[in-house]
Amino acid sequence: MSISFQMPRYEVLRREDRCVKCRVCERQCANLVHRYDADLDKMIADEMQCVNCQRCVVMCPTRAIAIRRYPLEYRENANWTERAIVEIQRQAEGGGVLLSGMGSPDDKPVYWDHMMLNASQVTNPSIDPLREPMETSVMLGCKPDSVTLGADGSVKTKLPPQVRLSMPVMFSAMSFGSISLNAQKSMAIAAKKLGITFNTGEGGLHRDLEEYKDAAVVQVASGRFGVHTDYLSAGCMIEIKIGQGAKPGIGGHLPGRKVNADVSVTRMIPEGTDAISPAPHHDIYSIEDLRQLIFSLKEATEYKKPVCVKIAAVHNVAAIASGIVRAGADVIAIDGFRGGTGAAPTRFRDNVGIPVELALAAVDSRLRKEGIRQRVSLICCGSIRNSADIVKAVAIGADACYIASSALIAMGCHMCGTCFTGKCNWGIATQDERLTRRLNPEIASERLVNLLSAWNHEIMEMLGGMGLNSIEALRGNRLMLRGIGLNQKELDVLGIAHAGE
Amino acid sequence: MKVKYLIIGSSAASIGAINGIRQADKSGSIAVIGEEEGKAYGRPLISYYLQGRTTKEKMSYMDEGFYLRNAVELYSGVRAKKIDVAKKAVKTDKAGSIGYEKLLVATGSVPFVPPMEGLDGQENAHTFMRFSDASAIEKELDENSRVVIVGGGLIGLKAAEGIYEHTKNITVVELAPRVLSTVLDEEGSEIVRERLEKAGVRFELGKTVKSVVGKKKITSVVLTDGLELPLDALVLAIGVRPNTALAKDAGIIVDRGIKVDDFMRTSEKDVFAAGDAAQGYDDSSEQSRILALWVNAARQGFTAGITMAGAQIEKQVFLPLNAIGLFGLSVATAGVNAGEKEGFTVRTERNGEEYRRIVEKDGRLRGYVLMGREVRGAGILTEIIYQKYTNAELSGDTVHSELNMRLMPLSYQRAALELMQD
Amino acid sequence: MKKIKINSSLCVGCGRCEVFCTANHSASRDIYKAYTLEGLRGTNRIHLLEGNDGYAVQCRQCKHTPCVFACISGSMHVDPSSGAVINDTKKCVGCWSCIAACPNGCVFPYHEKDGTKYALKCDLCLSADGEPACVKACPNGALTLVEV
Repeated sequence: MSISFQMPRYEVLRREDRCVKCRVCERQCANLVHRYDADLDKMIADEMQCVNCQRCVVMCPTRAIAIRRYPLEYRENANWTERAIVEIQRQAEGGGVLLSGMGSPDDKPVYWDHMMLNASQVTNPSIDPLREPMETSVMLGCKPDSVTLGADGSVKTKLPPQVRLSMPVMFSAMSFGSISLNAQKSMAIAAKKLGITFNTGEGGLHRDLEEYKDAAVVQVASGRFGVHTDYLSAGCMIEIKIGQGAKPGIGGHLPGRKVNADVSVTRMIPEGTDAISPAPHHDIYSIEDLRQLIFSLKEATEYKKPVCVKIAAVHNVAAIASGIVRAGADVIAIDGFRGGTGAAPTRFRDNVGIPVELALAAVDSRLRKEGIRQRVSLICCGSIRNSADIVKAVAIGADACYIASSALIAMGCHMCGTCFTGKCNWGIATQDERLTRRLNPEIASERLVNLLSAWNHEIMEMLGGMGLNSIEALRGNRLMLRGIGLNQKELDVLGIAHAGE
Repeated sequence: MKVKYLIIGSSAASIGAINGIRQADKSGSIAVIGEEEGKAYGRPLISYYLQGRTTKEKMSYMDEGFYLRNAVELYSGVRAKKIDVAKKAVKTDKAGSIGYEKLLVATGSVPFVPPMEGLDGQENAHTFMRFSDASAIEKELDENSRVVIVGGGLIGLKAAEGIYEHTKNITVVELAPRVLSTVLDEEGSEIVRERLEKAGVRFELGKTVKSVVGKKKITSVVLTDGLELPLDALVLAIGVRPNTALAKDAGIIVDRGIKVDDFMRTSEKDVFAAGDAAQGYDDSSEQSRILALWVNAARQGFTAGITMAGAQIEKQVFLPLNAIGLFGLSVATAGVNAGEKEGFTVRTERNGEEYRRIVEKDGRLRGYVLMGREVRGAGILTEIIYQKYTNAELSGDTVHSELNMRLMPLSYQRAALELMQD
Repeated sequence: MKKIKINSSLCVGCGRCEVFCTANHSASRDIYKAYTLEGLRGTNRIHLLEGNDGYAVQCRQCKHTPCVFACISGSMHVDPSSGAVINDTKKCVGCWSCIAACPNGCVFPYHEKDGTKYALKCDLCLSADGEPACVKACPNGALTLVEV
């Protein structure tokens, strides 16, 4: 190689009137950006390695550091953007598939931001959540077509297994291996405290999380990592992962450098080997095969737990969902293209899949039209950023939402997107003991509880504002939404009217 | 007059005893008989006083309210003349007879002055023990004074340091072939001597004073090799002897010092001894000996106090421990001062004046010498000696590792961090 | 009395504790001024012992007070009201007897520019506002103030 064309992406700004050369930044940067130079008696930065994780910014005792984009200004070109140029340079040097961490940052429509909620005014007055009961709990599972009551009022119909959530939010699948045990433990603790669930992802259930197993959704993915009978009976729900929003069509990818002894034991694979999940489940080549797997899992767990099927939002997602319902699933999770990931090929992450808002609307409409909507609960995921997104998702038709990136941000993630390097400075997407100890589950779980309690409060406020007093009354209630800045086609797919109508 | 606890002596052991008694007995009456005027003071500070690094007021060891707060009756400027163990009373020169239930003999030591021809109470001959000594020396000196100090040990060299502030014309005469021979090895002695010589202090080693010249005032001394040193002031700083006369007269068993057991009890019931006058057990050399050091006097006093008050204390381990600065060079030593000749293993590391000497036997640390910046963290090595940790138990190496808690066994670290010690 | 408990497995080795300790014992209570105008670099009483499984540690407030017994001047003492072991730096003569006695290596020699020297050790921030700065500064809960 002659010389690298690659330039730093970020610049470290250090205020000399604040820096006391305490070296905290040097000690905390896993990418070795900061260094104290004794000859110059200064802190200096090698910004080539900086990924903008902002660990140094937060830790600096005098707030002397800011990170900003490296001020390289290529000639203006709406087509040949800096990113387009840099990606070619990287591949010309490395010759590999570009990898990315976290969800697609592309400037494509975020439909949540194009939908506005209703509020009650003169008729149908709003409800004050501080004074009136407000029900945000949700039951996930197949609902029977009809219910027979006994003379004493008790329910005679045998109900399929349900999972109760105290609010319409669950922690999404993030495997032990892609994230640290401390990160998973934080979510497990918070889930138990809040009365919701966390998800093992395809990394198995670590023995240290045994005490939280009742709050666990155990995932069966194409690699079948960590799947054994005790694992299946441990959780409150089993999730078959067919696809993931960030990389529809391909399987999970955990680089070997993140597979340490602990990950190896939990996943049941050799230490240091890449954990690559195959694209399809190699025992599912048709919808009938899926039905067989669903019922094998139900048999194995004595029909005591609902089975969820997670799919990526792609073309024809409505038809796929319909097939999954008829295959016997109790819950369907739809993961949109904005979904996060620890590692995905960049081209898949940014170019494959469709927005979950549209997918959710299409699936909910289709299932209602076919009269089978009540046979499953729908979970929406793929970048839920706040309580308003949740309320809108429920209004479109979701029973609940999965969150992942939001949860990680609450725990310390600053969206630098280099999860696949295993050098997460916040102790989340790494197995390096020197880094994972930075995530104290006591502190991180408290942050998660704070976040979701706040969201729950906001959901109640928004419900009350709409004159509703339960999530039930909001689910699929598209009349509560109006679109803004959307064309007719988009409005039709979403099944909502335009603002003003 | 009668008290519950009577203490003869008003220095380190006395203070330690008061604290020990009061930990277990908040109300029993305590009286202290102190020969010197005033409240207890940090005796080792007399050289710092000469140096100008402390004042008479600051030398007072405890705060103003200490004696009042602890309900202690202090008879200062009073001398104990006789201990009557049968009557359980102590006769004094100015405070009459004081009866006791428990007695602590903390009479300390007196300067050792060997016989010297011609030495007869001349006004410019001084010992270096009490504040009054330092005060007298200070008045005598000006920048032209010639001073001869007899004794190149801890006391002599500290005296030299104090006197150096007043006059640079100092000669130290030492019988041994090197300075600080009781606490340092050859190499350590040399480092200290070089430092002092660089400052202009002269040494006459391997000699002592044979005779002094001058009737009312000493004008010179003649050494054992015939060399005559003219002088204006003579400081006798050869060593100390335990002040055991009172105890001996009372029939208490005295060897070199007053013999005490692990809890400072003497051969006489209800009579305890502590400090320079007491002879306890030196754990590092495994011998019964006097450890005439402030820290041991204080700890022995405390042990005596607690035991006198009828409470329990864990058996204490005592060993030599010294820390001094000499002309800007920090020195710390503890435990055994011995070498290969005596059957110990020695390992050293040195970089100029930064010196670390590790003395071991049977795979564990028995003694050390640290100089310069190496003194930082010295207490870690001290504790390793106290706890008798073997080298294998430690998390590092006593010669090469930095002296901090990470050198200790993991179990020690855990206990310290999680506050499970003592 | 209150002491500082250390959970070494939670220490992230950042050293913020050292910086805030220094500032909390300065006249200005401002980090930048403490390090530059007041020249207080190196006066932290808590020290980060770096390395894998490293941690920061300060005076353990030993019940058997070895430093107090070793002190020749009486500057090292037990404060009657709080029960804490404190060094009166104005009375201290810098002999380092306490350093040679401290079983945890947590007393440190300090030399001021004019040659004055004294021993430095944690005083539980009693000389400031009584709220240990290191405990507040720790980002991961490794240091906690506990009643013992």
